[in-house]
Parts: sequence; C-alpha cells; structure tokens
Amino acid sequence: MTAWSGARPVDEFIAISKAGKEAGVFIMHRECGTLAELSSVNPDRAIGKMKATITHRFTFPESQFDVDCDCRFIFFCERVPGQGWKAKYVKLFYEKDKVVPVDGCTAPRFEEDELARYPKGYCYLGAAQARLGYDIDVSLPTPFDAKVWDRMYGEMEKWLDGKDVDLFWETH
Amino acid sequence: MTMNDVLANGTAVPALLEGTKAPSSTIPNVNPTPAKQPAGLYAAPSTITSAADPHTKSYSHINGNIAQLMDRLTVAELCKGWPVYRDASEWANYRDLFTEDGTVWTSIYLFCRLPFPLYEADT
Repeated sequence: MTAWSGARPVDEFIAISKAGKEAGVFIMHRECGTLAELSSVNPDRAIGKMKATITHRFTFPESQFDVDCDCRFIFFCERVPGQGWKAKYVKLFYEKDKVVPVDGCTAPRFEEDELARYPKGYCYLGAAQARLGYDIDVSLPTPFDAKVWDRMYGEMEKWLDGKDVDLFWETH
Repeated sequence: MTMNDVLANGTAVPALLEGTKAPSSTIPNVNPTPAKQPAGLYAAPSTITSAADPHTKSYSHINGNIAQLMDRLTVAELCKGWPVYRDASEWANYRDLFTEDGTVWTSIYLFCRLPFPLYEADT
C-alpha cells in the first residue's frame, strides 16, 4: 500500500485542521493523564507523555458512530531562548481503538481484510478515515509493532540524552 | 453468553436471582492462570502485555527540586494545550505550543484526496 507520511509542519497542520472543520470533520480529544520527563544532560530538553483518546465522529449514510482511539502523545520539547518550553515534534503511539455507535446499537461493519490494511492499534480509525477518502499513514507507532515501539522509545531517549533524533521513518 | 454461562476457565456460574445473595459455596474459584489469549487480529499487543520495561534508564519524572517541578509542570501544560486548544479552534493558543519549525504526525495524510478547495492544486 502507499506509504503516506503523516508528518506535517504545524502551520500546514493548522491550515488542514481549519479546512477540515469547515468541511465538517469532527475530531476531539480526551486527555487522560500527562507527565513530563527532563533531560539530565541538556537542561533545555524534555519529553511530555500525554495519554489521550482521539474520538472521531463519523456520519455514514447508514449510521453515526465514533471511533475512539486510545493513544499516547509524545511531545519532544525544547526550551527556546526568550520563549520558554515549546514542542518541536509531536508523534503518537496509537494503542487501542474501537467503534462506538452513537445511538448505542448501529455501526458499520468492518471486515478483517479491510482492517488488515491498517496497523492494529488504529485499524478502525484508519479504515473509517479511509472510507472517507483519506490516505492513512501506516507507519505510526503502536504497541503491536515491537520494532517501531522500540524505535520510538529509542528516539525519546536520544532526545533526552541531547542527541539528534530521526522520527521521519516509513516502515511499510 | 448469559450470566449463567461459564467463565473462561470453565467454571459454571450459577444464575443469581435479583435480590438474592449467592451462598459462599457457589462463588467460583478464579483460576490464577490466565486463559490462552486469542491470536491474529484479536491478539493483544506484545509490548503492552510484556513485562519488559521499554526505557533503558530513567529521567527526572517525579519529585526533585522546585526548578525541575516548574519545568515538568510547564511541559505538561504545553501538552494539554493540544486537546484544549485544537478542539476549540483556539489556533493562536495552539500555535503557541510549538517551535517555529514544529512538526506533527497524524494518522491522516490529508493532502492528496481531500475535496477541500485549499488543496485542489495538490491532487
């Protein structure tokens, strides 16, 4: 499948988010707990770990439903002179998702072959977003892919150890 | 599966009438050995269900001195700006969370196929 990368400069992401909202894209986030870690070698580097649930509301002809995706936002933060702490990179672990019917009983069925195109951890989110015509980045960290999981933790530790990081991988 | 079926470990669960208390002898013993977990699409993640610690070392994450506490509080505040500001379209506050060259990853590669006029040139 096509290996789209979901990496965006934040200004582009804001423009996309505005356009999405104007087109009726309805995505919200529930924050579920946040902690931070400080570098012991570079006083201007930190990592923020935010557990959250992405909740994307879909309205299909046959039903209205949410896909709730439990995730962990990882904020690669640095202290910018004169500005304070800022996020340089934000990349997420997509950990577990599910379909939630809005009316309590009606939701579309996603077959295994459709779900298999997207990584477990966000396969329902990916499948539902793809049905709207979006291309999905299938190389994002999940707990189901130990290699990417370890890579992500490695990059987090490199950041805290004051080294260069490379989050721009594509694995599929 | 109804209330009076069997547990995963094969123990029969007696039906309980509303308002009645189960005699202690009918409370099933819970087998401490977990049932075999499913494979394939429904398999649990190997990482989260692993006992291995993903970090090779630990960093200042709790306690410490006031300066460390302030730094961690500020970073945690910054993180929480994502849900609070983006969901409410507080774009100026949201943009303020990031460095000049901040980069974010999302599940949707939004550029190619969106019908938005903004990106017609990119299709």
